[in-house]
Amino acid sequence: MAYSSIVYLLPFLGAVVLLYNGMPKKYRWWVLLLASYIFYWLNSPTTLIFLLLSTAAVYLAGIFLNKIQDGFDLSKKALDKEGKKQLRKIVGWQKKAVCAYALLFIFGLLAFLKYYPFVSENINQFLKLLHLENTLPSLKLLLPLGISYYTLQAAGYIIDVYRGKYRADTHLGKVALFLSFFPQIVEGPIARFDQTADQLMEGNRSTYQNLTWGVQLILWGLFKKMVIADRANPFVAEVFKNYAEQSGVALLVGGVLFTIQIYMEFSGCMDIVIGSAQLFGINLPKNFARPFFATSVNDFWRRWHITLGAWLRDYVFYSVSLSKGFAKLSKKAKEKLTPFLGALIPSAAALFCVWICNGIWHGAGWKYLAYGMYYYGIMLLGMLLEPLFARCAAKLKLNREGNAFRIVRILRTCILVVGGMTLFRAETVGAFGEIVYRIFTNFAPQHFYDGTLLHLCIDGWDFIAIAAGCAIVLLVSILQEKGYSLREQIAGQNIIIRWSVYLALILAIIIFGAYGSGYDQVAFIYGQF
Amino acid sequence: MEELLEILENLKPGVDFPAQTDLIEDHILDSMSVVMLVGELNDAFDIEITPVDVVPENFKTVDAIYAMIQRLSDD
Amino acid sequence: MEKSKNTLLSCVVKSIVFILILALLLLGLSYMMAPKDNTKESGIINPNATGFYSEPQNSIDVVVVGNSDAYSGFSPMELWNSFGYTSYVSAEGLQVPAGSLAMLKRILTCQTPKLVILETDGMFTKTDASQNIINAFNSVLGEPFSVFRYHNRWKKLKWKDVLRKPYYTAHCVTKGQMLSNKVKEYSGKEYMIETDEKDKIPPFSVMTVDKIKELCEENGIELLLLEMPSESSWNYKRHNAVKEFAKERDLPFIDLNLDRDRFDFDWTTDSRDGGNHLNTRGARKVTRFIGEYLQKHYDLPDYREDPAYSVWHEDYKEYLKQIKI
Repeated sequence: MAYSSIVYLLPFLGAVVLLYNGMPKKYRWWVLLLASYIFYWLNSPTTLIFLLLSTAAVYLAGIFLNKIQDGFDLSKKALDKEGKKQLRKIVGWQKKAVCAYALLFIFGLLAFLKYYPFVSENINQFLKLLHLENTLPSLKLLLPLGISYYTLQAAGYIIDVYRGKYRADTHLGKVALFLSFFPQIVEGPIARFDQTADQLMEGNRSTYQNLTWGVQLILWGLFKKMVIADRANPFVAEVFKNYAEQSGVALLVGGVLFTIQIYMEFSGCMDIVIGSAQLFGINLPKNFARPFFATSVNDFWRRWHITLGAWLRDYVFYSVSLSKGFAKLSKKAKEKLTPFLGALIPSAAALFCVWICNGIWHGAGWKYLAYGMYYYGIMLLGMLLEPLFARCAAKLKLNREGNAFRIVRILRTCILVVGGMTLFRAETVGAFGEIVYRIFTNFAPQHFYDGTLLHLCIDGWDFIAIAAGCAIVLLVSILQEKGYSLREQIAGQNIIIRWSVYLALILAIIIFGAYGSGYDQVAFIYGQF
Repeated sequence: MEELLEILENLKPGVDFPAQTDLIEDHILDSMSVVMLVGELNDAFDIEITPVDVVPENFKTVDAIYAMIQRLSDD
Repeated sequence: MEKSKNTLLSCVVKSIVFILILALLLLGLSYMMAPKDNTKESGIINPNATGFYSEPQNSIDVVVVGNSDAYSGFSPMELWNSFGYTSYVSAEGLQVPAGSLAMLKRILTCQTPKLVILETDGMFTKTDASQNIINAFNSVLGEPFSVFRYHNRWKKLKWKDVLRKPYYTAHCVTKGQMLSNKVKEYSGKEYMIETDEKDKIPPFSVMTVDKIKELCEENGIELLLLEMPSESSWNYKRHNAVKEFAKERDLPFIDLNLDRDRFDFDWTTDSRDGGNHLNTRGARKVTRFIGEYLQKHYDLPDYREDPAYSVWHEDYKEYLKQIKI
């Protein structure tokens, strides 16, 4: 049941909204929890057990951490300073152990189910090289729906409790709903417990404003997915499948179109997801902030898949870079090398961990590791060369804050991102190499205008539709970037203008959407992680 | 307070720190510079800033950073 | 309290008005974007299956609906030549019962068949909940809201076509049959092995075939269930399922996978793709057998001597040329 499917949008979502509002306030969260488990069961009946296991694990670990903390608070009053310090140490160890076991369990499940096939295959290949026959069995494992998303939510919760950001919740239903809430379960956004859990339990009535805004967002998401992303899909699929036969121009256009496709699709899905939650008055954290206005790759990742970046920052980057080991290392480096490098080393090392995690989070395979390393390389290079850039700019008297320079930086970022997306979409790292090679050696610029591009599964009209769709999204994005709230602007107009906008959007989806005869329904790319 | 301003000035020369209202939202301190800053602060004030303390509220303004240092030194 | 009631009421009224306006716009767009002919060039979906639009009104007595098994295996020209019955195959690739229902409704706008033959293989096609909703919508409101099927025609829309009424001109010599003279033998094992087990017909198919039955009854049309020979899509479990289904509803059911010697069927010469679909040779054999059955059980008129149907004789000659037998 994809979020863009009729069965989700009409009967499912409609029934849940009606039931939710028909219930007394106290019981509304039950509707959401039940709907979430039904949604999960309808999509992936056999793997529901893994979600339940992870839920139980972090719930129990949380309760344990509470107990340990309570015991400490109770007995510390009677102790002097030295005794307190001792006890704190012991309690610290206990808490660390509980947290570690819980994390080991939930990440163990994820690691086994998601990475076993990849790891075992590579180990077997390695053993073969050594002429060893003992091979690991290849298991056919079902990847539980949304495991990569809910595991991160669960881990964030337990780490926050461990760090003392908030106390663990004793309400099992609340933890269960936080982890399973049906709009988020397939593709995120990855929320924190203190962002959504209370809202989920509140059970506020769906107000007129929430309903209209939710529906608007859902329509906007459908527009992005059906009019732009799905229309670009056949070209992208063809070019990346038969990359060895394509000219550089076709591959380049394929890379750009895939970047457009994945953005429209992922951000469109997030619009549907956030809109769905808004129908119940629940505000989910946003996942996109107009990433293609980013002025650096760093900035791009603050605007693209925001909740993943923030998760990795809070739980990987800071955990590593602020650890005692790195503090010492940094001090030494400062004394023995230069202060610049001393300051850089903890960040560089922590960033390495972040990008390894980012890469393998996206999938089990060398390609995804390479994807992580691609961005790590760019960022590291940027950090190392920053002083040089600054000096050059100063010498040339360039205004690094000016508009012209800003546009150059945005373009540079876009090119780097298209490179990353091409690697992401290519079948293997080798295929990516071949694609880049062909772009540089077999560019064939005449293909831009001789019509070759129009025979790769989509025609000129499709390109026009994609371009027009992108222009509309760009216009909206520029307005948003400038701080206009388009929704408030529209809401402030009279009924004729307001309704015309909505009707135009609906008709645009119905007429220009790539669905029906000749188009297969395209699965969301990000739902497969 | 002056020591703190000196550290910040070294980290990001040319920024008028006391005048800033949101160092995080305005991208003056990104996660890299926060890590560097934390290292400096730990050394200078003999405190231990942990990941829990690294939240936007504690790094928004010079005053907020100062308040955090005060709190952690008392502990 | 009074106020919130008011706003709730006004919300409901507003929503209804909004949906009505949307529906009116969609009706208008559907009219404008619908193909205005049933030729291949007009953009109509499956022009072969929709050729009945341009047959003379009420001239078709037997209609066959179903999936590719039906348009490969049923030959209206053969039925014409041997028995003088007029028939049309309005089958489509992967047509499910909901598609058959929608097609039947279209047929009833211009023809008054006496018999509908439903090819049962499509009843077993698995469809998900979303497809069921779309199919149900199309079989009820698909004609007035054809924009959902024909929206992709925005690319090819001609101004002069937008506002005019449809005028159907296509002439399909084979009356919906897809001819293939290819021969690819099936030489595998016998696939109809008797068993008591039963396959499950998806509930949505059951529901829809019941709707087809109702529609036929309302219009005084007989309904006959038929299964074409097909090694790859048929088996005894499915036979049992349809047999039971037919019995419960008192419908006749012919399974041509059983006792294939009745019509001299030969898997080595009568299939075009190794056991899935029939070729023209297979279709001739099968259709003659069906014709005998129709002669025995139904009272269908023979038009071979009727001058109003002389064009059917010409079509038959053309058909013979194309099948090269």
